[in-house]
Amino acid sequence: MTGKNLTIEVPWYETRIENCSYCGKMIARNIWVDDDFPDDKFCEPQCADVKRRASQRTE
Amino acid sequence: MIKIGIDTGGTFTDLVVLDDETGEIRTVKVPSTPEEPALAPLQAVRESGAPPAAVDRIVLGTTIATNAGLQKRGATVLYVGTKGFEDVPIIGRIDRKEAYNPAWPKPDSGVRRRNVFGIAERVDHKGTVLTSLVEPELARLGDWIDTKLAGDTNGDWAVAVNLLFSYVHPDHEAKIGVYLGERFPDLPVSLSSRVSPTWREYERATTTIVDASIKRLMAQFTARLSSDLRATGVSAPLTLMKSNGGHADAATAADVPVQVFLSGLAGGVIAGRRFARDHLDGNSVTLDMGGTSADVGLIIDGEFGSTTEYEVEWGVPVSALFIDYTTIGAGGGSIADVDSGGFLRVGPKSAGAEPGPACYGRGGIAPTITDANIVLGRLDPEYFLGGRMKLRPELAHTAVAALAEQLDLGVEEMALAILDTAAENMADAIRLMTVERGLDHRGFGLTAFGGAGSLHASDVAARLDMARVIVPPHPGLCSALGTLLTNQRVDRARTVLHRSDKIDLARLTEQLGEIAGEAAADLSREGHQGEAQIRGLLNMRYLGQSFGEIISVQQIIVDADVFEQAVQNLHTRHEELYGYSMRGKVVEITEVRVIALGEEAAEASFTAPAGGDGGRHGTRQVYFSSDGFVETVVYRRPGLNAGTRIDGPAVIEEMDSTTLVHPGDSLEIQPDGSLLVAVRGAADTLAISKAPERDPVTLTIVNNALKNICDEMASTMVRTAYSPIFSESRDFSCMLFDRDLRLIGQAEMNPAIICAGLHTVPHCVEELGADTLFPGDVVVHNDPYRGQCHMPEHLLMKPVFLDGELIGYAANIAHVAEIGGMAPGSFASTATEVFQEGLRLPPVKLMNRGEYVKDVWRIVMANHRTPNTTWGDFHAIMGSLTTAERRLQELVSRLGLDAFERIGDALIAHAEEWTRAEIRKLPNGEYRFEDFFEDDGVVAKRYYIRSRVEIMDDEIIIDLSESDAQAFGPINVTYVATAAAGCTAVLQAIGARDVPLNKGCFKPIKVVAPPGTVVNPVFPAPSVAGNTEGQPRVISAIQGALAKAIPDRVGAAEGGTACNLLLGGVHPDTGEFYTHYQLDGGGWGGGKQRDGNSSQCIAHGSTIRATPIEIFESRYPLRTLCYALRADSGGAGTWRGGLGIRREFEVICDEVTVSALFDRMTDGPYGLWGGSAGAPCGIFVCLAGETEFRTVVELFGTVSPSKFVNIKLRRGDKILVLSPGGGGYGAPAERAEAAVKQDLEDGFVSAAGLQAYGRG
Repeated sequence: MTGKNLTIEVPWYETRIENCSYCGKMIARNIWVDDDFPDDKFCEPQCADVKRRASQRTE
Repeated sequence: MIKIGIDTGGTFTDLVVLDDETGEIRTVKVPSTPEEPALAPLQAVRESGAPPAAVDRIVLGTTIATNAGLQKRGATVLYVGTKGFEDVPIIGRIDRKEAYNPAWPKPDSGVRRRNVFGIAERVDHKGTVLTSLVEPELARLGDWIDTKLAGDTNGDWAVAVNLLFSYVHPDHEAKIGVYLGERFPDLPVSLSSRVSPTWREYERATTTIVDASIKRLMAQFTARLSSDLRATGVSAPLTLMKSNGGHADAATAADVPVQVFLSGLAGGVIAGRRFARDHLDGNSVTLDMGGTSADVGLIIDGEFGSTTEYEVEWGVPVSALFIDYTTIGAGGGSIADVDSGGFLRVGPKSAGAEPGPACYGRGGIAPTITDANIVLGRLDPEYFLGGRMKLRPELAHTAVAALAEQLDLGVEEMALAILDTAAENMADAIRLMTVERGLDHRGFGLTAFGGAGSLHASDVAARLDMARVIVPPHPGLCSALGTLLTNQRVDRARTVLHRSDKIDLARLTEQLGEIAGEAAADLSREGHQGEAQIRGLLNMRYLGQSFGEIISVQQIIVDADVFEQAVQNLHTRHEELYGYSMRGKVVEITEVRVIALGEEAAEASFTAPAGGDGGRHGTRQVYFSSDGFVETVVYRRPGLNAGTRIDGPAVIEEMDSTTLVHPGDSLEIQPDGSLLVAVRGAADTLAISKAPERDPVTLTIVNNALKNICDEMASTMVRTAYSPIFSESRDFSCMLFDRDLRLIGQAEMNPAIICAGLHTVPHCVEELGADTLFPGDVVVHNDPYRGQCHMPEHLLMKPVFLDGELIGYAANIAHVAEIGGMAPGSFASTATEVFQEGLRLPPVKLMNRGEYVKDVWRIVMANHRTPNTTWGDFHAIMGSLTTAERRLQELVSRLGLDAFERIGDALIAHAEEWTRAEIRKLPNGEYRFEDFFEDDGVVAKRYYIRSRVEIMDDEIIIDLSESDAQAFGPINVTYVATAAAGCTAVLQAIGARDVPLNKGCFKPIKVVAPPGTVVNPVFPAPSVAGNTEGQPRVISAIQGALAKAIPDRVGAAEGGTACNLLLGGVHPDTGEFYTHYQLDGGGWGGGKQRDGNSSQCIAHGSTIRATPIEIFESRYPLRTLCYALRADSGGAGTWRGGLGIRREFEVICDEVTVSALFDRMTDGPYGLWGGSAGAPCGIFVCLAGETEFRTVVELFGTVSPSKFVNIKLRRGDKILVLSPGGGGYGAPAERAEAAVKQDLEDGFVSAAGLQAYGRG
């Protein structure tokens, strides 16, 4: 698994919330961007990993 | 004259003879005679050689009542309650002990449903008679009892009478007592108004039942022993040690035997008080360690404390006055094993006296504490009980070695680990007991006695930084000695209601005077001559709290000065206990108490032997943690002279006990023969462990400590909260996180909130930034669109620092009952936006570096309907956080932060591995199921939750993507609530027990819920019902799928609705606004080889309790007309579903605003494998003057019959609540004939209901 942790910069008055691309959980500030799924924002690396394994099983 | 004290326990009976004139003390120890308990004390008296005619006092402490109560060996009890409320002891308080065990058996309150009787009468909370008790009702009761007795003429029967509000109006019970006394003169009858005249009908019921069950037994025992003593020439009347630390004549004790329920345990604390006064400046922890348990008591300024509740078993309380102490399962016979989570466990299982520890050679093979002591050379196998019993060290070695192999430890290492774990458990119990009372244990000494107390005392003291241990003379006989060192004493209490802002001091004084008169009269009846010494006490609390503090006023005449001082003392005590007070708030007095003291305690004097031989008795190899085996000098205590000083290591042996002096400690013989140990050298094994993360003992100890901290938080919360939803219903959960925001500890409370906290707390800190947090900060957060589960759940979180460094977080998520919005009680069942659900708070500070953030408080208080309650509840939550902060700091101080974090890593890894191992046992595959909400309160359509559960080796993916789109109404389940439900569903299916419930447990479970669905709504959809009603529905959708994978482990559906009923308005008596959130329990589903429990709280809320009727009616202007189990509501099956309840209210004021949020009103909880669905729930209204209950759709035109807001009901209107039954499991026709017959006899199934089983 490769990728990077990023912090979403949000102005203090902002109220919008991002959701994890895989599980749907709300993300406060920290996201995981996985090299296998570059368009997705994950709440944690484990979510990308589960998605990867699920995809492999489907294939 | 001669005084005799006796302590008769399950194994031995001890006797102490005290000669007044010479001060001489003699002791006797004989085996107890459980089959004929009066024989052993008599034998001991004979063996003592005391001249019978010279005996002027004989006091007995006994465990007969305790053991009969605990083992339910007493009479079969017939229970009499107010008609419509006779099921109170069967229904219980609806909470569960084990959050993740659906097969948990509900505790037995001591009475079967076939043996309950409802008698027509009713009194209100002020004592006004609403329905008189008439003669024909008494006759009907008598006839019913006649029928019962005729059914078993040789049976041992007794009657327990517990009428609603008997504590304010005892006349009806008294009338029943007189009637039954005349008609059934030989039948023991216990009246709740005499046994326990305090509110909370369930607790009073269980107390009265216990009293009734042991009444005949105690009467026979005391009569037989009194008669035998007289026959031997002892003319002094037999008296019994009472649980409150006093003593009473045998006849009085037998009349209300619950007052001697813990008679056998009180003597030890009394004796401990004597030696604490003499040697430890009156401040001591007493440690009475025997064969099966260790009892810990507290002596403060020379006096013991008192408490009013003891649990016969979990959920079955006895309410009476007891000496304040706590018991843990750590005695010589406590068994060491490895629990299912892989941790070393010592106790509470005990080898008992038979077969006893392995070294007894009577067939026991499990290693015990005694075996560990033998392996380490701390006990001499040739000198056990003074050499009267030879032990077999090879058997001890074999037993310990077998366990050592399991944990990959050496034999001595294993033995030491057993003793370390036991010592740490005792130290934890002492920490809990002292910290809960706002005390610092380091300022106390330790008084150690019982057969095993002195062997472990120094080790326990060292772990607590306690510098002194005192071992009294004859430590194994202290309980017998204690019976002589106590006054004659009577305690009386009465529930009253006064407020400090409207105080009627004349009435208060009058009430104290009345019970003082009663107490003095009781003392006279017990033979006391002269004036009794009487002390007054008041049970005081801040207005709105449910539990108070006992404040002494000394006298019974309360003038303005005395009262003002009592109020000040309450503030001080509250600060000591909980870290804050609320000066300026109205104080409520809920109970008056008096203590009447009669005959003085005996004077006992002790002297160390003079001219002893020095006591030296050779040496032997003894193992210590710091040095391994060390050649250690052994002394025999009778040969030690006063003033002798012995440096450790050393062993002091005597007939009934062994004292261990660790290397570095020293001991000095006191003039009275006591051993005073100066504790210096015993090391804190937690602090010195080099690789704690690999040490199973350290892991066990730290895991226990983290859980204990959370339990302590909960205890603080319950005692100080304002809302019944906390103090009675316990709808909150306490957690600890490490500084990396990983859940590391939790009290086993509501799974809904614990699992949600996993996400909520990290979200909160991530959003704020850990670098913005400082010591003394408290953050509040309830925003469901920022990682919370729903609006009422408020997270209050406190960062914990040690020496300026962040070490973790204490968190408490609590359901605040009123937060504004469109409906009183903030359950906006028809909301279409989150804005209608109350005040939404993103993560913001309530406290900044210990100072109020006043702007935030003002916003909160301005938007809640009951701001005073919010103020009190928020402070209660913050008090729980302060408790956790202190304890976590203490724990990390002992370990060091680095070691603490490595231990945290290991505990999390262990929990994860355990969960993965359990999942690996499940068959791989994909399983599907669906369940639904019947409507959302806004649109009359079903909303489906569709689960696809994929078990893949050691992980589970719960995919809810195919669920319906989000609802218009508030049934939407936010992601955090959905994820919590997913984890709960799995942990309940695999039956998580013993494993640390930390982040590791949840890692192998992934829940997928796309935004925009009913299981993950997007802003600004409403979601207040999603946590309370949505979580159980998500759980049942997932468990339905899991049932296909593991049919033997997953049962049919539980009720699945909390029957949320919200009441609000202006109280006619006070003119103040009130709201109340009422919950009820439903039936649980049947499962393989088990019926479902009846009336139990929903799946994701284990600690939730129903509010007692007596508290409800004292606070709110509604009257309960009926509270009973619903026959035939349990789904039929080979294994039947549990029953729901029926509850009716009547409005007794001009107007009440009612909202409700139920589900499963059209379709009951599903059955499995041919079992029928449970009966659906229901909420109906009958308008004043009408006779028929109808739905609110019919009466008020609402969209939903089960979800509505702000219905206005008037005086005389009635509400009917039906909670659902659980689903049945397996084909009903295959239910065992005997089980069907029992159900019929107990009224769980009616004659008509038999058809569902193909019978009748």
